[in-house]
Amino acid sequence: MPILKIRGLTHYFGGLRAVYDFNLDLEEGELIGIIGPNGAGKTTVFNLITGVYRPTAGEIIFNGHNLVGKRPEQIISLGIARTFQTLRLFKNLTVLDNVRIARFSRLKYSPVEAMFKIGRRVKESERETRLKCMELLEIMGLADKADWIASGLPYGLQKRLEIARALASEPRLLLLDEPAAGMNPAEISELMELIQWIRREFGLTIILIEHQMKVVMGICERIKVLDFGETIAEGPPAEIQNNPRVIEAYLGEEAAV
Amino acid sequence: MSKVKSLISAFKERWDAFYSSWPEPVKKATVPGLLVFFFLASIFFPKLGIINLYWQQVLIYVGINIILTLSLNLVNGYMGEFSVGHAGFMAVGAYVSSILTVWVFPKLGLSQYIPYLFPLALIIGGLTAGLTGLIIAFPSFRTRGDYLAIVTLSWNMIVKSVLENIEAIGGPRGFMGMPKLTSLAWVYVWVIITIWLIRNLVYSNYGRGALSIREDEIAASLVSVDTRTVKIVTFVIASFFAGIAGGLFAHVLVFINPRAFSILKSTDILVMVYLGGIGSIGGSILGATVYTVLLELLRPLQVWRWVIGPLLLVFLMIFRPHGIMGMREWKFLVPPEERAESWRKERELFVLPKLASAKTNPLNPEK
Repeated sequence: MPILKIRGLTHYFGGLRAVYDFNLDLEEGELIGIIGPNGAGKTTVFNLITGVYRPTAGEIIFNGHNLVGKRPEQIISLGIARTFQTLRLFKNLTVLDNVRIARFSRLKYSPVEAMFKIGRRVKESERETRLKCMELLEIMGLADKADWIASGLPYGLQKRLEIARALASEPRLLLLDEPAAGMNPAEISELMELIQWIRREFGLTIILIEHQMKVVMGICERIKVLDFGETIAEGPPAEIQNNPRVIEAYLGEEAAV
Repeated sequence: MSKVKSLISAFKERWDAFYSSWPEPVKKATVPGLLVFFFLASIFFPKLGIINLYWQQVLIYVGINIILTLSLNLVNGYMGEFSVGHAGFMAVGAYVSSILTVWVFPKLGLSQYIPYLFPLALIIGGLTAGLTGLIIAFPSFRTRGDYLAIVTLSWNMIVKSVLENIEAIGGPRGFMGMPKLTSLAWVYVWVIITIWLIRNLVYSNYGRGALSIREDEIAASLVSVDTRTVKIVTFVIASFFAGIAGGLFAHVLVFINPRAFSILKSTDILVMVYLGGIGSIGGSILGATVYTVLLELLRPLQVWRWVIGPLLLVFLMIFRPHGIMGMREWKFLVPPEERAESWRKERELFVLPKLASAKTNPLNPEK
């Protein structure tokens, strides 16, 4: 049974058709890429999966749960995490807090317990959260900066922090929205290794939106190509590279240069 | 300005050096020791005549204003919403607790116990204010943006006109007959309780949720923060403490009328929040103290001192939008386990040994 099943996903912004009849069967552990020119509807797909928008039509089944109509925090709590195209860290908060916030739904104590700090429950679960998040920061090479304000980190580390924050909620499905944007070639190679490493280490299924062909072609097993909201091609990287429709819609621009 | 800054930092350096020379047990006992000292002082100084009645009164107002500022800071500072009707909740607490001490307790034959029942009256007043907060929060947090400001503004006006039109509690003439139960010691105790509870909340899951809403609400909901619940919980808790402050206020004035809880009062609280600094407990204490004492010192200016408050707010927004202590905190107000040095210690003791296996990580190839 696929972990994520999307059928006929369609979304209109007023009269503009952003996504049309998007279908996807994602097996556990897969890493697939979504590519397409600007405005093709890639990020909209992520926003539909995570409940930022409610689809005009279609269904999204994650792990047996229908996601359509659920609020973002409910969807995230089911085991989906995402990063953003433009960094959306909590800029004025510490690095550790940025990561800890992602464990919000896992901390179950009540506000009254929090205020009175009654018993072990609050203290223990807080300590556990702190250590778990610190471990994650350690893995991402950010632990020595745990008390820094997030906006004080250099850009590359902010990107890593966003991935750390996404991992903190212990997702099964990770949605990465242009993780390589603004990176130099060396950083991109590092990122590719990192993505493959966290995928193994955390047992993740990953959907990747990316403009950097090197990344998509290098690590994705399967690629979907969107253009004006429609899926124009789907298949392994080698096949996509030679698909005439894709070259026309997307790679063609590059080939012409 | 920069001279002041360098002076402050020089002083801070000296103080830090001096403080670190103290033996460990003395360090640990400092905060509790000071708390006990001030508690005893708040009982005995007035009795021994060390503080005269006038300054007692001023200090009581300072304390009440600290509670009001801190509670509003939860919503406006930590959560980044904009509530402008805090005096409305204060009014609810003031009237409810006054009705309890003037009518309900004597009717139940508890007249002689009223001084002991005072905390109960305050808490019931606070809970009622919290309940009204809940009623306001439900509809106004369904929408995003500036609606809360409009809703709370009208809430403040509604409370005032409702109180003015209920003859049974004095209408526009006001309500009187409360015993003067609010003493310096009581205010002190409530201030400490409020600071402690709000500090715990702020450094908990809910506090972090509120902060994340201030920073980026959509991102917050996309990392699993239940934004609606956090907003409602925070707002209700803020209203509760406003109600407590209202009860204390009523029992120091021994006379309340609806005009005392107008928009002007709410504006005062806003000024104190933004003067002291958003998202800071220390800032709230500072803002409330500075503003209250300043207005007292400006008394000779008479009506003109009411120009100072709003003017201060305008200049503040222009020159220091985050206030005196915006988003910073005095270290002693941060729970020990939330301080950076404790994080470092935990990292060394628990995280690093456990993670020896993470060598394969492409980010740490050399380790």
